[in-house]
Amino acid sequence: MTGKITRIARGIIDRRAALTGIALAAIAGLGALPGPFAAGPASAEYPERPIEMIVPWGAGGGTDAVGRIFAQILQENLGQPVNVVNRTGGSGVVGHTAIARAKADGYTMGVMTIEIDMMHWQGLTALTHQDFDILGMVNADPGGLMVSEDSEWKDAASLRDAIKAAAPGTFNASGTGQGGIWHLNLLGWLMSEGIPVEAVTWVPSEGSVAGLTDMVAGGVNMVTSSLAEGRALIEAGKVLPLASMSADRQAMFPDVPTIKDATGSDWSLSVWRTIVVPKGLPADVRTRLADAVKAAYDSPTYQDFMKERGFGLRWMGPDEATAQVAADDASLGAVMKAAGLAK
Amino acid sequence: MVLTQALGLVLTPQVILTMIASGAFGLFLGAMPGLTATMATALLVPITFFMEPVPAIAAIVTAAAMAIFAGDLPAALLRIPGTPASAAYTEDAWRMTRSGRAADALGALLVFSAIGGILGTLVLILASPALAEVALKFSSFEYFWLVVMGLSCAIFVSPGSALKSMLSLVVGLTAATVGFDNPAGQPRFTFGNVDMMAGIPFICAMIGLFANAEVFRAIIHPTRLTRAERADTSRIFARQWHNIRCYPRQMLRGSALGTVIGALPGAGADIAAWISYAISKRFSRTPGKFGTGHVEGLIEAGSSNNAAVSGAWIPALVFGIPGDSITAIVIGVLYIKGMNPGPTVFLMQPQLIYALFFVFLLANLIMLPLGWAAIKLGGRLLSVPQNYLMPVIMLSCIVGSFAITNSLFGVWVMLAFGVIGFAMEECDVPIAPAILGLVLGPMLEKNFITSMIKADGNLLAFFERPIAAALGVMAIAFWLLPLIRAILNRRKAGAT
Amino acid sequence: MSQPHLNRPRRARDIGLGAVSILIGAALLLGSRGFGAIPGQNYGADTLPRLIALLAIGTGIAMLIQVLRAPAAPPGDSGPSTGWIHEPRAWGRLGIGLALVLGYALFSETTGFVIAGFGVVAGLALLMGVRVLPAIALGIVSAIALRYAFADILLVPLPRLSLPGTGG
Repeated sequence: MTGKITRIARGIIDRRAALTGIALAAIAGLGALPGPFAAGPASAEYPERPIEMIVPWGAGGGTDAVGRIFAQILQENLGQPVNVVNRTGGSGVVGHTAIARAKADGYTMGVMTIEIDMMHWQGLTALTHQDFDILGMVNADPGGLMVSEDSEWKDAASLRDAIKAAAPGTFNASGTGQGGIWHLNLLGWLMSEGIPVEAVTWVPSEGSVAGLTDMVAGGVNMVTSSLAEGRALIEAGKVLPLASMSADRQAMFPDVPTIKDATGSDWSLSVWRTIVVPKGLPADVRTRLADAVKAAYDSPTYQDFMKERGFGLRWMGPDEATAQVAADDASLGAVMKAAGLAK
Repeated sequence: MVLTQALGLVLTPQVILTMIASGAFGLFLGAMPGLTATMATALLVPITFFMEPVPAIAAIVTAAAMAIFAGDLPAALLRIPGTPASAAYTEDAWRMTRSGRAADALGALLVFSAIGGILGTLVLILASPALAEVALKFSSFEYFWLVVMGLSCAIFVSPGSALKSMLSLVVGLTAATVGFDNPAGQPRFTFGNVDMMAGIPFICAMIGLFANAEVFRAIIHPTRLTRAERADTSRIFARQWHNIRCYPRQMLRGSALGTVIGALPGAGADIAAWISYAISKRFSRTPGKFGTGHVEGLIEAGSSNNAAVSGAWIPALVFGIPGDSITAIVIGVLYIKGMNPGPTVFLMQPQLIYALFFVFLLANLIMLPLGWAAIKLGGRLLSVPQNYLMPVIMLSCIVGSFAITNSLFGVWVMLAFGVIGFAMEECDVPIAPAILGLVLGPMLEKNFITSMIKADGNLLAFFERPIAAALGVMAIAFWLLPLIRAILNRRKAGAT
Repeated sequence: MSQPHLNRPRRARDIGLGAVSILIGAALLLGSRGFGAIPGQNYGADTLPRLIALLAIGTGIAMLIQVLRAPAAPPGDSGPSTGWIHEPRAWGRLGIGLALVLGYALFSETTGFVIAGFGVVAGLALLMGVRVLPAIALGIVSAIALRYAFADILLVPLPRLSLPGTGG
């Protein structure tokens, strides 16, 4: 049977930390644990065997963290181990494909990220959000606008005016790869301010942390990733947050104005994470899973985890989430077409 | 006062037991081909949710440190490096084992891994804020030159013909171009296959090039099917006093360079090990012995890659910037435990930070007894007849490659590179540069393209920033010096 | 650069290596023709492949020059360890070894890990001269042990044989 780790983790909750050492020794020691063929009690009720949770991004990232905490809580509720499987690479194409192509039997679920609304516009895959059934949106982080602490521009409006006045290519920005979500955040913002998209050069980076460190090292002028990703450098006084691309201020950064307040722009963009299953699940299984996802979202474990990590909490049920995902699909498609990133 | 508080947090039976258990866990994972330190860390995370901060971090740190040392074990015993960082000295370590000096080789790797880790931690304790500031000055220009130096080392360090090393490097770099994750965001050489979008996973390729190719050789050459000579793993530590007295400079130089390179978020243990190995060879009194089973390079590069692991905590603790996936995971755990990385944690919770430092030191000390046990156990592998050992290695490689991608794609990649690696070895083409090309190729491209974009195509910009200029001059000198020497030699030869 | 004496097999082999290097370069040049630049820049997805191609072609040409300029070796100098190249039996063994791994890649999804893994280990052991019973025992033990360590403890999603009633 699988899931020794879970069992051990539960053991730790029961007996608290005093036995951690022994529990870990059990993992390592390959000791007196039941054999691989030990069959579970045969039962007709779903779920009767372990469930896979496919995460399209690598271990250590934010999506991985959300996937793992969800798996942890779900297995308490479902009574079967939920094992996280990272299927990484190709900017999410590999993992999303694996979720969509899995058997629709309720034993494979996954974390779908906003990249699903981008990859088909780029011509990388035929896959769209319509190939999945969304069980719930469990997190959303608004995009941001950040500069280095020693930057000449201390607010978003003066930065915008400087970009408008300068020759195209004077300014550059970073935060993700070419055509990545934060690149689109920049382009969407520029378009909403009536600035041509070629005004700011995009410097591709491997993730927002690489972009932020490059900005602090003097390599680029601004980074448009989420403020949550810049939290440590903001708290260290190395990075100055100028605006949040959201309708309301963020709870974690109450001093940072929304882009509407800062420059009057209507642009908004949040990256979200949804828990999804492949299309075509039996109705009763899907209901069971959707209920479990909602319960997991409401659990104090999840709420505390997200607050401590600094990730934005946002709940949308299946219908609302599907509408939001479709709306983002349209708006990102428009930006990508205007910027020449769509095929 | 703070120090005693910190010691009190660490020296509890719970923390010590946790460290020993997770150390054994990390050792097991690191010694299996295909299982990585990252995987060990990721598996521990859900457990650490329910622990106190200090034992939680202690579990992860110990497992990661042990997993990285454990990668040296299959390198020395079977010529299969566990990580790209041990690939630099795999040949030396394996040849020492072959000539009956397994105890010396493994002992050196163990002792100098621990020493490198401890010296790196001392730097972390004494100078992390200052070093972190320096690390933040590195942008894509500086990293570009660092990668060029790493790649150059692979060519000049490999035994045998430099041209064949170049060919090997070309194979690795070519494989590195596959996939969608490149700065231009365009799919390359994917042939319409979704899995190829992710590129060639380098651990799978490494398993193929080294381990698979080794199995194929055993199948072909029946003469090698004899019982391998029993490795003498007695008196593992006995020779190491001698090594410390003979090579103190190598040990310190490796540790220092490793710490500095490890502190750079965009570079890591693999570049550190290769550059250190090259420096060791360059300044050695007996450079000819490198690659033939010589302990000197093992000492310098072995201390260097473990020092780099310690160094990686510097930007992680001071600015919350992860240098690799392990530190990324640990930063996440730190946040959950309310120890938000950043300058404030040094002021607000000094006892916790000092407790962490003690944990780092202790992890490297625990490595000595646990590593000794692992060497004793691992040494028995050598007395297993090859025709029983090789089939099992093959299946572990299949499982390990599968575990990297969680799909059969990893197995296909391993098989393809197994055939390539076998052919390369049969043609006397060294394998190690191909691994380095595969690992550093994406970094080379990323830093080159982003620098070009920032500089608007002006190549001189690669020399405009002071650190970049210094590194650039060093990298170019690396290539020009041997050429100049060759020309001078030819002149001399022509004159006589 | 020293100029080693080369016997005939080594010579042929090094010419082959040079040619392979040039071929890699040519393939990279051809394959990267369709890659475009990053919008607004002069470089992009084709830059690195082209640079590698130049390196590969340069290396290949240098290798060919070195081989052709090297003096022939005195007779009696034995070649590298490529003696097996003329042995059909060796090729056969290599083929069987490759086929076993290929078999795993093709059939493990259907048969599950334990059976496919047993096939690889037992087959290779037989190929390498282990007697039948020990080979079978080795196959069973190692397949079950690895499945236990990876699938049950490390939670790697190894293919499982789905039989009704076993809970997977």
